[in-house]
Amino acid sequence: MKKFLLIPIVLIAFLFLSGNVYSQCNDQLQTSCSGGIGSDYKYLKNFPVKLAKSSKEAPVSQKYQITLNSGTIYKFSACNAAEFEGKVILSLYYGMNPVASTYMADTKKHYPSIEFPCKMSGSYNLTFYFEDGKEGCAVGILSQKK
Amino acid sequence: METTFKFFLRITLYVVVLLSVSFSFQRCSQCSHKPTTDDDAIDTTGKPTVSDGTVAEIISSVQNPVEMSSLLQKSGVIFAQDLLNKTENNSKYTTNFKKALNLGVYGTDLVHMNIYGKTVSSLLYLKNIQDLANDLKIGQFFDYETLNRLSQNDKNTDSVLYITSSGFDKMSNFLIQEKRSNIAVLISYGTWMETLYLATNIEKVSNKQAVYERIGFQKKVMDNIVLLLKNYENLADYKEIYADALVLKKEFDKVTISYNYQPPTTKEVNGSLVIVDNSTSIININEEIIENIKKQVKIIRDKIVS
Repeated sequence: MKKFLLIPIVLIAFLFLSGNVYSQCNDQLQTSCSGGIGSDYKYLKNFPVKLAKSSKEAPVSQKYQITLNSGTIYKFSACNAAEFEGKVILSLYYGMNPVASTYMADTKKHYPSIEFPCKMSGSYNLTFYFEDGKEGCAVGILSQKK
Repeated sequence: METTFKFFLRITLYVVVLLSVSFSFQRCSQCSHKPTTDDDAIDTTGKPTVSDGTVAEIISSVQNPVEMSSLLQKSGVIFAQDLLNKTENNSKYTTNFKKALNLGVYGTDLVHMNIYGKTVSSLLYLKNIQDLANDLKIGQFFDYETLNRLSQNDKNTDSVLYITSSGFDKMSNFLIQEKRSNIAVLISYGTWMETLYLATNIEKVSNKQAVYERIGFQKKVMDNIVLLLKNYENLADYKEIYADALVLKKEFDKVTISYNYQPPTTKEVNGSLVIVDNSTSIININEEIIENIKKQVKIIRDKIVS
């Protein structure tokens, strides 16, 4: 009798749990990531990232153009959705020139955020991809120091 | 045993019904997000040359109005209520084209008021934003109830700014996903134009140069705005704003920006990565260019809010 009852309970639980996981990849992730920017920073923008599995050597990336002002201290934060294995790497470029990244290749270390005191007003490219081309969902947050 | 089997069948039936209802709700909620209006879907009437993916990539170059309003406040610019779009103008906006543009305008005004600590006075702006967002079927991303509650107290400025900014981000992301990029572009254009209008209407300020340079730097955003608007220039309503934007671009083209890129260095401070920027930029803009930009911005902004 108990076994018969267990099956529908498991099915119902799966239904609700899968719904929560799905929403975590969207608004919940952005809200929790924004909450981590710190009280001395003002939220400016978010950048949702969702990428399918791609090649390890040349992972597919998602790009955004942003404009940054000289004299402003910016912070870039990146957060991964828990249900995906992929670890996001956020990189900032000026044209083709690398400026900053949340991943240091020489130490193989990921950083949850980077602080960028901007001295050159300009258009920059923000690029996101997942380490080793794994499938992933993440959000990037841009904030400025108060 | 037979009774137990019947009980199991009944429970299973309940689950199947529950699953069916759940999926119906999911489908229904997706349906409700589809555009129901006839003047905001561009795929059948126009031929956009820039893909939705590219729009998403470029539209993020329009800065959050928090940046300009913060600079104005820090530079000693005095808050002027009469510069903001009048709340009673909202009833004039009957087309989705005007609603989208003025959603951006009112959003910027709301941010500007909050930066200046006028949170309690911003309640009518909140209401206008909610109405416009609802009419454009994106009201679900603007948390009016929470904002209305928080705005009762001037100490909640940070929370109001965050919920407002993230709400506008969600609206933009959603519109692009739903192939209503043209509406997202109009909201961004309204936001940007109102920011410029506030920045070009400053009077007695000790540090005008910082504001002027920030205005001059909008040259980079102007280029992207023109690219985005060109995408829809074949549509009747967009033709005029595209033409007006081209006139404004001519004024911005007189601004010169020189760059000196030097590779940055990095250092770790308390486990966090800090970038040391070794590059510099110089923005050359004078009073005459500012005055011409101001005149053209006023012409465009007056058309938007009328």
